[in-house]
Amino acid sequence: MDRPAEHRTGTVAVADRRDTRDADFAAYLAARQASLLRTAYLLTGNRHDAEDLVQTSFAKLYLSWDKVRDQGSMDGYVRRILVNEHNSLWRRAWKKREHVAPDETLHALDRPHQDHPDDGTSAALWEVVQTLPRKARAVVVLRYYEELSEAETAAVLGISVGTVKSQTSRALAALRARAPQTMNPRVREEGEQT
Amino acid sequence: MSNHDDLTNTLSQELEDRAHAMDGSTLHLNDVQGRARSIRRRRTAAAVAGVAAVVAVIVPVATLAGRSGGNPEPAPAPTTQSVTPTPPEGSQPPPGVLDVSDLPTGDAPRIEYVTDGRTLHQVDGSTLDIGTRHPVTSFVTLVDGSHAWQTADAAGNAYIEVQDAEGTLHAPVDSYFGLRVNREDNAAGWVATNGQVTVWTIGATEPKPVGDPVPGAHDLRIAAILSQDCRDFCTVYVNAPADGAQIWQPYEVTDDGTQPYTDGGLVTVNDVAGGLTIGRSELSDFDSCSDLFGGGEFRGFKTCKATLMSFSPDAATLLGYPPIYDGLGPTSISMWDLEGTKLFERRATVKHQATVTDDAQWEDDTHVIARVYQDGEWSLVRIASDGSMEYAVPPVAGQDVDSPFVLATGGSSAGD
Repeated sequence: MDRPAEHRTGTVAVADRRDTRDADFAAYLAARQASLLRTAYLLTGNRHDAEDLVQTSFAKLYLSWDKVRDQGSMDGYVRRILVNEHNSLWRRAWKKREHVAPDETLHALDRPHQDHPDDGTSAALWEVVQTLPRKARAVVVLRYYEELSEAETAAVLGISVGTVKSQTSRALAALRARAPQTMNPRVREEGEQT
Repeated sequence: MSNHDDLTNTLSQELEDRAHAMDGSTLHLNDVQGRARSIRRRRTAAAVAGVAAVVAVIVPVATLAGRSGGNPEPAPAPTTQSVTPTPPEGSQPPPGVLDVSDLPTGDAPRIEYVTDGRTLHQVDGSTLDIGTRHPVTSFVTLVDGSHAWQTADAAGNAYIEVQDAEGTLHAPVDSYFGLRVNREDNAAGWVATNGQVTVWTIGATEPKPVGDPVPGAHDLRIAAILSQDCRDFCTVYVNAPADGAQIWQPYEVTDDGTQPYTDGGLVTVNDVAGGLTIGRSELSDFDSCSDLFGGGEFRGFKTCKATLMSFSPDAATLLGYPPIYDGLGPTSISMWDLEGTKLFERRATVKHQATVTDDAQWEDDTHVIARVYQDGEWSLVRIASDGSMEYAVPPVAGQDVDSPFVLATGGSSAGD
């Protein structure tokens, strides 16, 4: 069947649709990548892994873009891809965590911006956070960096609110036990009484 | 947050400070597309490898025409049966838990399904090579044996490829993603990229446009076909973006025209059956509520604990998913009666991170077949209205965001 006019119309329609979709995605990518990279960094602990994680997460979002737009939760969707991808990376035996070679530039990038005086406890706290199990760490990041509610955190992680509460409680207990003693209220109160 | 003490305050501040070190991200669309192509290649390889375990011999597409109920030519006997691995013993997970890692294996699906986008698995266990130009992403089987295949090219553009009752495969036409069938299985419908709702009815030789194009012509999703016989008069519901991509407006499209659908104040229509309608009445980034309503004295109910997605064939039971889908897909599945009583709900847990796709199909009045992903494997799981589960197709290796399985939309008329 020879329908050149219809064929041209169809080809143009497909190209237009693809361009529109890519433009929408590119706009979302530009708007959200910085935010997502920060979360990824808190999950992974280094820039290299964080950038790799963000790229993979956006790629998976790109592949699901048409389906995702059915839902009113683009940010939640990509955030959950990020967390799940991070967890799955850890699950893969072949994907050992790559440590970036010592480099002054990268060290400078990983150095935190600080608007407040630090007596060393913050850095120590960060070190403890990095030793938390990956799921507990994800809960901590979503609750105390993203400032999501327990229900929102549960939705992102695909777990119950009760599980979020218990994970949070255990993570904070671990931080209290292993962070500098000045962060432990009981120790601080005892110190103030003496 | 509440109950902040020094520890949590310092923790929040430290995370904020650390996160601020991450400036200067320069990820471009080309970078993402390149990674996406790599993922797509991995998925394809995994899907082919996984499906190879359950597919034996593929019958040429010509056989598909012979399967038609209206075709005078005798259909060749299926040449092979699917070969499945020896079923493990398996066990039921605890009540309320969606864990499909070790289920008992039951009968093969009593609805049709497709693997690797190319192979149709019929209810009798035989398989057919579909022969569409692009891989199948959803499909409908009508009572006369004709098929509407929704397919997608490598760039992710959707098409409809109709295969009529004689087996003739029509050229692909552009469409938005979404394909529906009426409850009588005699009409399949989709939305063309110009916003025109289109149906294929039994005995047809060409698609039939319905109503006027839906306004906006952008990311339109067909929701349901109401009519018992679209050859006489057709009514179709379509969800259209409104005021941006986050908010939806349903439209009622009939042979008389197209207009916004305002009954029940729904944001989206999800399904219709026997004079009853379900859909979302509220939708935000973090929550949604669903309503069931009908005519006369029927009261229905509203819930913000689930997305009510579809009616069972007897319209007595509702299939539910979480109020909002985050991440890779719904992490719970539930069933409800028409009074709003939850018959069961199964949810993923931290230990068992299962994801179920939101297109589970009713196999009969009390069972659905669902596509479930867990721990690097996809399976087809039969879930009963009492919450019990069994494999209909045991797990095969696969990538998380792309199932190797496609279920027949609306179940399968061929199995009736």
